[in-house]
Amino acid sequence: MLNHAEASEKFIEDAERTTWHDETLWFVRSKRDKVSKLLPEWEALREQASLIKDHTLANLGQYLIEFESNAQKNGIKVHWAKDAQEHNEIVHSIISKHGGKALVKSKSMLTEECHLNEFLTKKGVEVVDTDLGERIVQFRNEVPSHIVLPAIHLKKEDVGETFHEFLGTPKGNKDPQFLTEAARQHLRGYFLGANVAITGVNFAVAETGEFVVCTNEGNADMGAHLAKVHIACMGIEKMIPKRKDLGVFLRLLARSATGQLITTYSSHFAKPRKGQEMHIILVDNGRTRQLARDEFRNSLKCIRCAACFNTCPVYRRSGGHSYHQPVAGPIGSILAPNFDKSANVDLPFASTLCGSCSNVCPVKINIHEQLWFWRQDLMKDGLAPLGKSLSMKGMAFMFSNPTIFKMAGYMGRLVMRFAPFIVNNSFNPWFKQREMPEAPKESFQSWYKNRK
Amino acid sequence: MRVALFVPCYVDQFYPQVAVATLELLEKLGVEVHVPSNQTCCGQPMANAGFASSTEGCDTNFFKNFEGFDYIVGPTGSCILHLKEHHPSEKIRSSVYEICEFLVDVLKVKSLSANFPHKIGLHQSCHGQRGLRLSSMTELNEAPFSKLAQLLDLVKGVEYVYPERADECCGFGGTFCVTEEAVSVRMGQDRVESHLKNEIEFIVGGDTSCLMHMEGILKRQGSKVQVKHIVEILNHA
Amino acid sequence: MSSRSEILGAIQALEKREIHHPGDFKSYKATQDLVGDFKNSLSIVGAICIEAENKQKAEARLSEIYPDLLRYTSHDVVTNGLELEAVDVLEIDGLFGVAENGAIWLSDQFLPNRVAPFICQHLVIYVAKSEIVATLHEAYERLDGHYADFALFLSGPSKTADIEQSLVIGAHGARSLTIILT
Ligand code: SF4
Repeated sequence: MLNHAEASEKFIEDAERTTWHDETLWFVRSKRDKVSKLLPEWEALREQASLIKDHTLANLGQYLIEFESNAQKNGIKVHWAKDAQEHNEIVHSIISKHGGKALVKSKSMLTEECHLNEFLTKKGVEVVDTDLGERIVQFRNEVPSHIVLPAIHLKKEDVGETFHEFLGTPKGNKDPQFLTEAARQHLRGYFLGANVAITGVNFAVAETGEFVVCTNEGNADMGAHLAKVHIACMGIEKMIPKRKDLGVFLRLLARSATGQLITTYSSHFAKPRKGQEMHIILVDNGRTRQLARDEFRNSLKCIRCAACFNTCPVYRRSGGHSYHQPVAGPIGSILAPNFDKSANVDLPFASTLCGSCSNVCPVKINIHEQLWFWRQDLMKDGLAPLGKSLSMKGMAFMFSNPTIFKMAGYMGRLVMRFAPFIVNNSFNPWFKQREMPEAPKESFQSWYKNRK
Repeated sequence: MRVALFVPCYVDQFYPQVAVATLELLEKLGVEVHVPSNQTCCGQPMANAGFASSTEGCDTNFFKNFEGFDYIVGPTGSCILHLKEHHPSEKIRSSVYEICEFLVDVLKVKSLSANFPHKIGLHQSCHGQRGLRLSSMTELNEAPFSKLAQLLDLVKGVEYVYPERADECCGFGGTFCVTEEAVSVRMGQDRVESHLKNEIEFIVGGDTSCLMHMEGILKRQGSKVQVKHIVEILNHA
Repeated sequence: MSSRSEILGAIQALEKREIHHPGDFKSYKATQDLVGDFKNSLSIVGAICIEAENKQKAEARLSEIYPDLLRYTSHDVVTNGLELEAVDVLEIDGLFGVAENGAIWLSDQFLPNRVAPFICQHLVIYVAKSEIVATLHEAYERLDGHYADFALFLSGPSKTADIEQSLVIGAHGARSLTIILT
């Protein structure tokens, strides 16, 4: 597996596509800017959302219990899964009971996180992702590169080819309207025939035991309302206390995500329809571990709007796959080390700490600060490559000792003035595409000494 | 008022003219400036690389050099932010100032004798802007302001313009500039390009590290456009 | 130990932190022109808006917009949602609209079937001008204590921009949405 820097380098090799990717996502960020600035209470709304989430996380146990009991009263079957494996097994056992061989699934980052598709496919169940973007990447045997715009790494030519291969659309047709229509027809068949539908959950309301699912396409509803069984999968952090809190979150979510005023459909599921079975799976999978970490706890406030992706200058120029995680971007980089520190040691470093992510985040997660904290945590755990630890030790020693610092600086400038080839070569990643700064005759300190 | 000049390590070694300008400017404004001679580094390069735990010696040295001052002023937002957020001493944390911040908030400078008849592109470095709040940020729903612009308004002849995407990061990012070389350079190239679209003669900012990065890119492209630290403009006769 | 008690146990083992709920949020500025704002939002979200005093008056316009299409106006319950697959145009009642985003609250008490507004090809919703609230806060205020088994805010026709971010109307749900303001 390539690390973030290596994968990004590959991505950037296609300069034109990088420009397109950057500009397209920047456009989404601009739309977000525009609508957020139309609301005078925008910053107060963010603060409110953040406070509600802080409060919820501080009382998570109590709210989960309240939610469970209300949902059960509503006739929903509630399951608990401590990890991805258990989640997948619960889903599978429900499906097996109903003898389904195919199921329709709308967007759920949790099921991506749990690798549910792989799991079910191995068990002989065909999973059909019904979100257009997800269906596209599913055909291509890829994973989503963005949590809101799963196929944003692809151009319409790519989609045209994929649909030609899998749906038999005419070769060379790359018209989004035409391709979307083809997908609509193709997926309608699955909707009408599926026994089981899986959806994600955007918000679960403790007070009422209902859950809210937001989509623009209407695919979650098409699946859920036709299937005999609806399984909703959610991380335990999706809880909110009261129904009125939804007003705050629904006002923020779509505006932050795509610059829309609200998603087309914000569906409130409280009870199964007559004759239907409704299940909800509450999944931990590392969340309680994150909850216990003071510095990282509030990463659990995330409502998966992806505003931090769209604003991130690194994400825009490296693409989602460079993060080698189901959730990419800045938020992904602070969630990933919680799952596996050594496999994700590169991610908290895939940032300039510019801080734009924290500013756009509708629930005010201090993302860039958490990136910094993860860096400390990971290095403390000894996950740095040897060369890096050594050079850091050297640096620490030099900066603690002014005499050595002056000496080193002097030598350094000497080298750069009289033997620039020592640094100006391909072993120096700075020099590859940038000139080195010109070395001055003397340092400020020595100038200052002579001045007096 | 005891004021000390903090000269970040790489400014001392590679951009002494920035420290000179800062010193001269403060002196012009009637400030008596001390320059502790055994200063080295703020510790940020190590901390941002995940080795904050190794900065103890560096922090101690900083403390030894600067503890006796009411104000510690330096010409790089990024180092100042690091000290403000992470230096173990409360005394140090509360007395460090970025130069523009110091001029506007402490000295409350209302006029300068500077003259710089050129068109410049203003680069808002992230740590100064978002970290130290030297200017408003495009992500937030807030009234626009900029301490840098406020100071440039006092300079005769200068015309400053913002690039498209006024506060996008240039991609320097400390060790990021070498560990993530490809992204760093691409970000820098994009930033430089949007400045160049404005047909400016200089790219001007408050963080020498960002300027060094963009300068490296400009020079590699053979561009005539130069970079300058904002104090060099404010101190330009 | 069950996963339930394991998860709840892990949470309960954490140090208790007192953080209060901030209370209900009040939007800043009440709009003067609810209907005007609502209409504006409808045009942003891609819905067609017709003003008509009553259903009869709307009729003429509807047959213009949807000529020769099978229109379905009954609110009678349809147990099997699949039966609605053939419906071209579904006409339903919305309970109220939200000015800030063009959303309309639909509750399954007033739908022939939950899937109805999704499975039809085109959707027509009647909303009374007197039933427009300013923001989602007022909306939930109004819904306080009124629970539905299933309900939704619907804003605009179904859409996607998953191919190169170019907006296509009519993903899986209705291809067009007409709001009749009575
Ligand atoms: S971290 Fe914030 S900005 Fe990023 S996806 Fe989550 S809620 Fe959105």
